[in-house]
Amino acid sequence: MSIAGLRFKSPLILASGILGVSPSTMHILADYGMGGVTTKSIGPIKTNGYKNPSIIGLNNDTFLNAVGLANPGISAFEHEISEIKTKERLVVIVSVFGRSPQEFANVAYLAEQAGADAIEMNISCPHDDVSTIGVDPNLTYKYVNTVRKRISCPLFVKLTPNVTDITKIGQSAEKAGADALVAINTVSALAIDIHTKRPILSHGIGGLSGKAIKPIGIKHVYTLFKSVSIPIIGCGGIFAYEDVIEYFFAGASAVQLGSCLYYGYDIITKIHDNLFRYMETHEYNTISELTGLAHTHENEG
Amino acid sequence: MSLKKTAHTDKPFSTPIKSITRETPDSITIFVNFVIDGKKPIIKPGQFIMVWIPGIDEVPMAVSYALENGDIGFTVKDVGEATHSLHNLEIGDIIGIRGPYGNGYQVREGYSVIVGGGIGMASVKLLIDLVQKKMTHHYSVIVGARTKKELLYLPELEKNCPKSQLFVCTDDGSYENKGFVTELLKEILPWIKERSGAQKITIYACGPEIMLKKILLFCNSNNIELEASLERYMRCGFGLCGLCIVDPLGIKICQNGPVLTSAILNELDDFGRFHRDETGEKIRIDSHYE
Repeated sequence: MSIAGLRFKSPLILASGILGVSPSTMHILADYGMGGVTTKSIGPIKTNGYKNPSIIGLNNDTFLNAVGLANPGISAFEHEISEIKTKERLVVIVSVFGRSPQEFANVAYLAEQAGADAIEMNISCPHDDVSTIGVDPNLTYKYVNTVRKRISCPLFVKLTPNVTDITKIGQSAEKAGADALVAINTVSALAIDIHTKRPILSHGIGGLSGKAIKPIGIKHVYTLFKSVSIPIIGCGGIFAYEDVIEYFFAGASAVQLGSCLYYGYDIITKIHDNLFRYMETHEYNTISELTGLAHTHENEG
Repeated sequence: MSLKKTAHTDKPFSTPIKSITRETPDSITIFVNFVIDGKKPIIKPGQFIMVWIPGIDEVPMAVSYALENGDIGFTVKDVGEATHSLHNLEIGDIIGIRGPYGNGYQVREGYSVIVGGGIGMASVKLLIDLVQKKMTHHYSVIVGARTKKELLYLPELEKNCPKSQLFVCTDDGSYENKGFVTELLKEILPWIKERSGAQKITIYACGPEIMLKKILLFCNSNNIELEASLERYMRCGFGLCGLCIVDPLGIKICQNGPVLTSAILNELDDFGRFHRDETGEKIRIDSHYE
């Protein structure tokens, strides 16, 4: 499986923001079946993020978080990128953000220099100002294009589902030079404790992930597939191989896993093995044969 | 993925404070009821909960009391903003509890030496209760603190623990033996060996990481197993944020720990040396804890 010329040994990629700080963990994830890993979003300077509670679980394998892009800053993270890169056949994607197009581009450039195979732009974190970029097609173009001009490795753009029409944002990113789209980031959401009458997360509004958001992710991948010609990496609520196949049929070429790691590393191997067993049983040789299959039925009825 | 038969939640369970016990001049134990939908919690010694102080913070706390009626208690030392605000709460004030989290101590056959340094006693408290209930279980307890006033649970320990099996030390010598628990451990090793006979000895310990590191070295050179409880910054408590991971094994303190065995501790470069702060940056422990 390859995206933008990068060869992945498996179509499963670690989503940004989950476990993405320790190189040893990234290597373990590869051993369990991840073909790529996306780091926590890294910015120009060290940021403490929001206070706890910043991640909680809701019912039915659904989670709410507002971490506030806490990160050690690119200069402290460069050696971690190099360390993650020491693993053979693991695609290393560094998620980046900044407060201006130039800051984005600088962080992306430094990450590429440190060894990143690809850059993922976070213009969509729902509990941070960067989300104002990902809801505006013009801003998206400006930011993506500035980063595109600064780096030579593949560039992925992670999109927010918190928009009226995701296709406009996706098309802007494509026009600006993105090599792939990642859909979706978390869904803007809120949980209130009825006893204390206050939002539970310290930041109040957060991003919803996990099982509840899968149908939203599937829908956005489905509509993007018809509107752009670059590959789409599906993300949101994958807990089993059937979810991966659903994303492929909607139009994804690969997927990202995050919240399912609540069940430990073993779930990766389970999804991986079942996925390939499915492909064998149904005589598919490559993932590209599955991508977008649901669209063949769209003119029916 | 299965429904848990005992109380467990990843969303803070709001519950009013039922009682507060003064333990030392700077430590209190807060009791709350943790029965969710009629299900009582089953807390293994060494497990922890995340405690939400509305409007302030949420912090991991070892469970030190687990009562028949589903009440649980955790001991808080006033060391920072979150713990200070817990000290200012009153009976009836609502806090949020989620968990329980972590693996806890694996009580093994043989002779147990339970070691608690300072507030670390809070983590081994339920373990002491457990070995005391098992009458056949051979054990001794070592309690250490900087000064007499900071010794946790001392009255209860002196009541329930046979005098010959309880060892107390203070850094300043204000009560019983003067010095660190590691020194006391060395001193009483021949006695422990005699008491344990042919039985395998396991040390269960919680306290400052520097102390735990010294105990590991002691255990290694005396063919003794160690189970030690570690502390790391964490956001979720259930294996997603990755901030509590210790390298190079990728051990998640919240899920694979907080209690780790000698075999794992010996492989951890981070043990006693590094932790990650809330940004994910690796920080030297020496500068942080001392």
